[in-house]
Amino acid sequence: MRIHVADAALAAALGGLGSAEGRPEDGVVFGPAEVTTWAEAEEELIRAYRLAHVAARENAPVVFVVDAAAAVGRATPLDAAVAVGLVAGGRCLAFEGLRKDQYASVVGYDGSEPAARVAATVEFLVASAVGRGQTVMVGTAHVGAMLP
Amino acid sequence: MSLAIVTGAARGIGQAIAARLVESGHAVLLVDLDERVHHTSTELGGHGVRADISQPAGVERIVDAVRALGVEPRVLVNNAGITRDSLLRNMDEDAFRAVVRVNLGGTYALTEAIAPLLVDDGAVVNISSRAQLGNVGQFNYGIAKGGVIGLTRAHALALAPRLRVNAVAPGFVESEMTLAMPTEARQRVVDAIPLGSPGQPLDIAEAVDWLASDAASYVTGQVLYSCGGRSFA
Ligand SMILES: NC(=O)c1ccc[n+]([C@@H]2O[C@H](COP(=O)([O-])OP(=O)(O)OC[C@H]3O[C@@H](n4cnc5c(N)ncnc54)[C@H](O)[C@@H]3O)[C@@H](O)[C@H]2O)c1
Repeated sequence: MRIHVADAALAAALGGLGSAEGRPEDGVVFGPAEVTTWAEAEEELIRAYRLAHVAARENAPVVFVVDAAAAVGRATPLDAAVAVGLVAGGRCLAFEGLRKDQYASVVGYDGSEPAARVAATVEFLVASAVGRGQTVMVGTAHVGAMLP
Repeated sequence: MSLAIVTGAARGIGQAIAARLVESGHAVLLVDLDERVHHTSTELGGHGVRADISQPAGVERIVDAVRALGVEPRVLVNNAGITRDSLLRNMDEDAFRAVVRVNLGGTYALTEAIAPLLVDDGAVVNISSRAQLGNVGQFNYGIAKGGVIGLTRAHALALAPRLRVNAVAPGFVESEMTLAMPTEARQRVVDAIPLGSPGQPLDIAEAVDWLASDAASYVTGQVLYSCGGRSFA
């Protein structure tokens, strides 16, 4: 599986699933970098598209991992746009995947959570294929905040 | 009198929004890529500017037009949008980039440029879509319109208490965008709407007009689904 996750600690913790050199044809875990300009935001979304596009052709699983604060809008407008965009992208892909049994979901996590716990959540989702199109929040900082 | 700026206003939902805001007593600046914007603005008694919201030069043009009018800007409606649907497996990068750049990048750039010019207690209303809850063939559009909701919330926090920022998420609305759909696909979509019919541009315009008005003065960072109940059915 291709692990393209900007958070280095999380990328390392996801080593059981794959690596930065892994094949997107076998599945994708994508976590965007923080951005400060529109060009950077667009580039992160295009990275997500490129990887998910390859995975979709092979019906391989896709999980987007995003900063939980950004996923509820408690971030800069551009970081929130990227995170909530991926939340919606995960839902769209899950719908498409229903026909061909391709799995897609989203994990939102607080920076204060141990990377191993976030990685275990991703591994569980991929292995069990539960929560299709859903956003699973890891951490307690945003309990009660309405998901977009 | 205060000014409302409406993008994608040459036709469809944007035209209906502009007309409704004129009725509510605003001077309206209609913005569109399409030269029909001049005809529509004359018809509505507004002002028109032809500009591409996805290009920095287009955004500058809109800011210049706002300044030139010399009317206090109070409302910005980010409505311009495009679709280029296909299953993700068949979607090319240009279709992904174009949809994200116009729907999301344009909304971001124009809000950043216009928000500082809006009067205190002004309002921004973004047009998202029910499709951000998930739709087959709309990975690009879903990301763009979900992203618009991320912008809506984050801008609402960043610009409070001076300005309010909200979104309307239309369901299936009759416009040139949706008339292009094959008849069978259209019928399937309409059959899934609890209220039993497609929305009309005026339905969306009413929601926008309310969010832009003082009647919604305690509402910010919210998404109003105007979709005939389709968001959960
Ligand atoms: N019609 C629907 O069912 C529906 C549903 C949900 C959301 N929406 C959204 O509502 C908005 C209006 O949709 P509509 O149905 O009236 O579509 P439409 O295609 O009839 O009108 C869109 C207008 O935006 C303009 N536009 C496109 N790109 C532009 C750019 N780069 N710069 C400036 N203007 C540009 C077009 O020229 C056009 O006049 C869009 O954001 C759309 O995504 C529509």
